[in-house]
Amino acid sequence: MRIAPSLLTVAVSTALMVPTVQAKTIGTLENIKTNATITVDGIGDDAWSKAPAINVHVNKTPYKPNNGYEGILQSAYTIKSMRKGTDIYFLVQWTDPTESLNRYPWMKQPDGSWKQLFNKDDTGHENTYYEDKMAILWNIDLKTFKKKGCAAACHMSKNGLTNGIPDKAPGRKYTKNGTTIDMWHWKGVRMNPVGQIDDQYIHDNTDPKVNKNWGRSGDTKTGGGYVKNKKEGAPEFVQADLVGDAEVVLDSKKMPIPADWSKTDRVPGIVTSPFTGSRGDINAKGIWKDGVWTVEIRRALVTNGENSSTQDVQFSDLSKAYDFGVAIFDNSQINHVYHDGVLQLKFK
Amino acid sequence: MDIKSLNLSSRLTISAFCLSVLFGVLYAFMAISVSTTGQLATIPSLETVQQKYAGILLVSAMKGSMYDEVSDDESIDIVEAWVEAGTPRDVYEAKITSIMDEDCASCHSASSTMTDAMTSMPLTSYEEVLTTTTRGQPWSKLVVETHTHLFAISMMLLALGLMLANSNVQSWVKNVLILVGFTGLWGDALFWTLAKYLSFVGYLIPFTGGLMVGAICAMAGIVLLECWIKVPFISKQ
Repeated sequence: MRIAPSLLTVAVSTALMVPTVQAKTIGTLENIKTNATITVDGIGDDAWSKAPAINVHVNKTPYKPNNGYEGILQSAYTIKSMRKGTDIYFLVQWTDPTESLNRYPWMKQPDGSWKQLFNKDDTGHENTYYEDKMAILWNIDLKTFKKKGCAAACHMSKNGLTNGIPDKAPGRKYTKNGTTIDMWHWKGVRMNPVGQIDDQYIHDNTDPKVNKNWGRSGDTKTGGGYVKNKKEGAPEFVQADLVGDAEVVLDSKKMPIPADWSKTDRVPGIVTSPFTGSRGDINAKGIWKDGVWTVEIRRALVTNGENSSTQDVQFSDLSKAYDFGVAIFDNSQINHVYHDGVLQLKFK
Repeated sequence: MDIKSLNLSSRLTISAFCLSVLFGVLYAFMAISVSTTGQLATIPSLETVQQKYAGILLVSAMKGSMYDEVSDDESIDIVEAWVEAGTPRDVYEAKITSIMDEDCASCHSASSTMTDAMTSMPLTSYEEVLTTTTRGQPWSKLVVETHTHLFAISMMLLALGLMLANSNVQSWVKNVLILVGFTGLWGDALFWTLAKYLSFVGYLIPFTGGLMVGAICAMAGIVLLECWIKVPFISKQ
């Protein structure tokens, strides 16, 4: 049952006579200057106690996998920011009851063969053998981001079509013509062991033949990165000091898996190394403890790598506000927990 | 009968009823805020309320509760012009599809499984969008809301009116509040319907609603006080 507006409503509305709805800026993060030493180790130095925090309740998901989704549907996300010299730092924390580091591992079978574990849903995405992730999207020049936040780049499939093209994926990210969004994609398995964030960006491509990820790409790189540890239905590499619950094989230590390998029955599905070039602009380290991920991040305020003007947000004007949005992934390839509206970063 | 002369249990019951009514009004305000602006505690403008009851359903939503989802204000004008022009299919294909796709259909799709999915109101085809281009509230909704509104609020006004009638406040206060309350209720119900045909009537709805809710609050407040104390200024000498 609805009751029409009260006298107070009428009085105030009459006085205003204009729509009162506004774009949803749901929080403003204040960056402060510091001279303290900040170590990017996922622990959080004492200096962080002086930085103001904003709390973001992330509680939306884009789709429901048909083979079940045991990940979290909401989380308390906190972010702080400081700057020192030419660098900017962030301390991010979010609640996640489970640490997920089991991304497509290989398991040795009783007959000596190897089986890679996965359990993909009907959209072709994984929610069982995956990793925890976190993303921060920084608007570069997409006008609608200011009002809609990350949703400005999110295009859900409708009745099996995305932008009129048959598509199994529940949604795709892309921007309007000629615009870009910077995407900082922290990956608990693929990048955390090498202390980086996967520095990516979202652009305007809507042709899957040009890019299978539509408008989502990594920044320009000169080397490094992660690859599948797979060759002819078995793992290709191990490392001499591999342990049973290792997340990855480090590229710097990798060696072809010996035919008589018996040290572990489980071998990671990824070989990784740090990116070089613009894609490796951001250092980060995360630690999961007692149901909370803590990730520390460092990047230059202004980057100058190849294509940095279109692929990276540039914190070059400390008097202006920078729009951003955040999301977390709980052991999930694409199903993420996000928020409506937009966040802002301001420099004090 | 004098309310104050009732036994303690009766006065407690009446007080609890009045407090419930006042709390109910507070939540009703929030319901209005959400349905018109999409926010929990935002005061809607007269324009927004008028649009809700007299405007084109789709346009009203884009201006009001769904405004945060609209990428560009110009899109609202384009959709409004399309409806005013008689919803031509070629214009839909050329201009409206992209707006629906960009701002609406992620949730408003039969196949959507997003947290805020509105699968019961898909906006992915011409035919589906056409159902939201009528003026004012759709009849299916209007008849349900109006009869519920009349039945429920008249019962509340009856109870409050009878209790007020037996209070010690001056007769003119009682009569004015009772008449204003029922007049507001009838005006609301009548204008919700008329607004479908006469758009300016939509501007009157906040006033009839305001009269009705104002009278309800005043009656509940007076009766609540009357249970325990002499109501200042308006009680009989």
